[in-house]
Amino acid sequence: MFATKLIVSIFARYNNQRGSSAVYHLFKGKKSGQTIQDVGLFQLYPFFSITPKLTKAQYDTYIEEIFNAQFILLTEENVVVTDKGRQLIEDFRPVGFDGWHYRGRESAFFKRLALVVQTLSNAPHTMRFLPIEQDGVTQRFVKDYLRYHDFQQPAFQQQFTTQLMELVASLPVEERSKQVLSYRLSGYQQSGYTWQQLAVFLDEDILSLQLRFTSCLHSMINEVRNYPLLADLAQNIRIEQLLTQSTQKTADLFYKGYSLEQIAQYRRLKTSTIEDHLAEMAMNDPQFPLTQFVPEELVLAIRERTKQLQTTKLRIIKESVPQASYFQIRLVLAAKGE
Amino acid sequence: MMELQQILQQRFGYDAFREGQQEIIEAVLSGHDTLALLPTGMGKSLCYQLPGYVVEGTILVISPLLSLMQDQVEQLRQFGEKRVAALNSFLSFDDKQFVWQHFDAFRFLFLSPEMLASDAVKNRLQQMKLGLIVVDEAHCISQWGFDFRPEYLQIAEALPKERPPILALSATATNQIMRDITHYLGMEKVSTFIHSVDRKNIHYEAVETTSFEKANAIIQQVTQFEGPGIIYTQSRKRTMEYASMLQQVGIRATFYHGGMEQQDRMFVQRQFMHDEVDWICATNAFGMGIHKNNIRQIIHDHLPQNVASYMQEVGRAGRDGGEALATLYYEKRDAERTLEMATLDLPTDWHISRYMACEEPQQLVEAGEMTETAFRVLHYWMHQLAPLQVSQKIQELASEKQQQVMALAKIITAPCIRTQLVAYFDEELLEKPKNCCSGCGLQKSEILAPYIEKNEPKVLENWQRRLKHLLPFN
Repeated sequence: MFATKLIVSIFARYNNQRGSSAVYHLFKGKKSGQTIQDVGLFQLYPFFSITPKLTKAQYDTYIEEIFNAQFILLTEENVVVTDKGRQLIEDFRPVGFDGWHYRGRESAFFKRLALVVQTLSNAPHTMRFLPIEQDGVTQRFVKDYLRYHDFQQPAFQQQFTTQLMELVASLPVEERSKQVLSYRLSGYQQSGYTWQQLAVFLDEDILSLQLRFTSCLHSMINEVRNYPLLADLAQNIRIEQLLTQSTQKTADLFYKGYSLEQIAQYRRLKTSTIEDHLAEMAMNDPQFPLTQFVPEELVLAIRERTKQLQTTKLRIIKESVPQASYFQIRLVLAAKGE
Repeated sequence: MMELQQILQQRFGYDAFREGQQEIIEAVLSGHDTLALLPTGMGKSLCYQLPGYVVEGTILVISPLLSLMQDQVEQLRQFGEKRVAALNSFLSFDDKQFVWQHFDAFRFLFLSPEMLASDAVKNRLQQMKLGLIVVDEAHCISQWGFDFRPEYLQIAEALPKERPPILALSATATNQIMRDITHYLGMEKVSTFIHSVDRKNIHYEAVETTSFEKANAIIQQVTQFEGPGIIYTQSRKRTMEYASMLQQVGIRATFYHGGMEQQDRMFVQRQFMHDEVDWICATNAFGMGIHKNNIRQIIHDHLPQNVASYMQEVGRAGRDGGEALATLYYEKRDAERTLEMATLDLPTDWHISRYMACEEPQQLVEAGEMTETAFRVLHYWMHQLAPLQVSQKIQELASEKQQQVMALAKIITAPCIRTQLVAYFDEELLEKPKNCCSGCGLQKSEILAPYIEKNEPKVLENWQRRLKHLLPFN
């Protein structure tokens, strides 16, 4: 049910202006101009790339169920949230997510956490156990961490446990989401539970449980600062470099003074691609020199018309402000500020 | 040899060798090329693990399957060995770097046959001191084996001229396969050790049924007699269906198949090993790396593809020496169906023409036009033979597969299953245990204790309690 509510509430934010695969691309973290731009436009940063492993087939089955339950209508182009759908999400607050800053990398944090918990749990009994995480990078990270903190000392074990309990207690997510997290961990003679097993016990579908799990991890890493023993496990997980790689290259050239056309020529990319990059930059950088591309009065005109028309569809805005190019409209919509 | 006993106890914590192990180890240590057949569950790995603490130089282990390799590395680490690593194409860049930098410092080094083909690896092997070369699952070298891996044929080429002895290991092999192994590996003056494939404590049962009755019969059996056990089935969907049917009658069961995410698969393995679940409903992806001694039952709901894989699967039962039952439910049409499945992994004439038409034939796998196994076979033979001969070769392989399926079909309906199983591997059965097999007549209740219901908590604990149980430190 959690996933249903989340998906319906995102379609509601799209305000009937996007088709059914929009949420799929958002959840997968697709790096195309449209998806990235929508993230800024509809303020969907928290939900970007929160299920990188989701397949289209899984998603489509899910959408079909939501449709069958009459929470949404599918028109040729758009998804429309029904009254029943609006009722469903009335009290729903999808807290905890911060996909924009993690994009799947939270799983590396969880691997470290899982291996530390397993080691500490086994420590009083045996040091010969099969590690739950097989990959060498995680194993070496955790080995260094445990050695550094002298993990055999009861003082460390107690502090770690206290910090973990306090951190989880402080998270804004539902109790059930925390429960899912706790059962994906394993320890001495206590295995973790598969998604399928949790689905049976909690009577909730797998995608919902996975989303709950992700929201838990995101909020954990965001709150980790005050819990130093856990903060050490969250090293290099958060993405501070927010531009996609290709956009970063364009940005470097742009701020050296190259023009749009020069960049396209130099990088051997289409002008439209460079325009995508500039839109992404406009979205992420409050200092972006918008007026270099769009005169002040046109910016105001576009913003005003957008508000009046209650739309973000480029074509409709363009009809209403014919003197602006599509690129200019996109930039204005993408740019932060009013 | 007092010394071996000591190492066995100090390093591995065992009081005594199991049948066959000591002779094999002694042969290896006296410098002989050695071929050893030990049935699944008889402690094959120890035959090279122990020499690692006697000989000088690295023990090089060539192993066909990634999961197997990983499992063996973990096993050694559990025995407290730190100088152990595996090099294979699935390693991350960092991991590969790490292994490469410490290449000759390892006591045990596991390589996939593909890795062995690289010149860089070959050079490195020439320069370092090797103590023993182990070829695990050596039957893969024979095209008559059920698991032919063409890369295995190139092993001999990659080995240094001046080499230490080779130890070739396999669970089962016919005479023909044994000849292939020693020939293609270039082994000389081979000491051969064949441990009987017969496991006295495993009782074989074959039951003809209909698809309509099958599931019920299985549930009956599981609710009547003790586990733990494994139910092998052919499709991922069936694993889930069986698991939920068993759960509904109160059995602690879950499922396992190759399509599940890595972490979930790990959880299921651990739950089984820790006796948190009693029954696993699985495809043949389940088994490798399951070191569980007290499995009492193996149930098949279909006819497996060949005798060797059947033996491997039932061989997972009764490793503690206690009595165990292997039941195979089959339908009249099973041989036909199984054959269909088996030939899915063989290329066809159409594949040959597609292969020749494609600049990068590997794409055929990505496009889903052929399975990976089929591609591996085709790719190898296309480099060895002319297209027309390849077609012929593949027909030979297909008819071989058919014979293998038919052989197993015949064995399970024979007057004595055990006698025929053993005969298939060119052995003679000297003695039949009580309740030998369904052919000779068996009483399940004399083999297995009755099922006792286990009380499973029906709800999960809240997160606070769960975390406290995992980390009881406050």
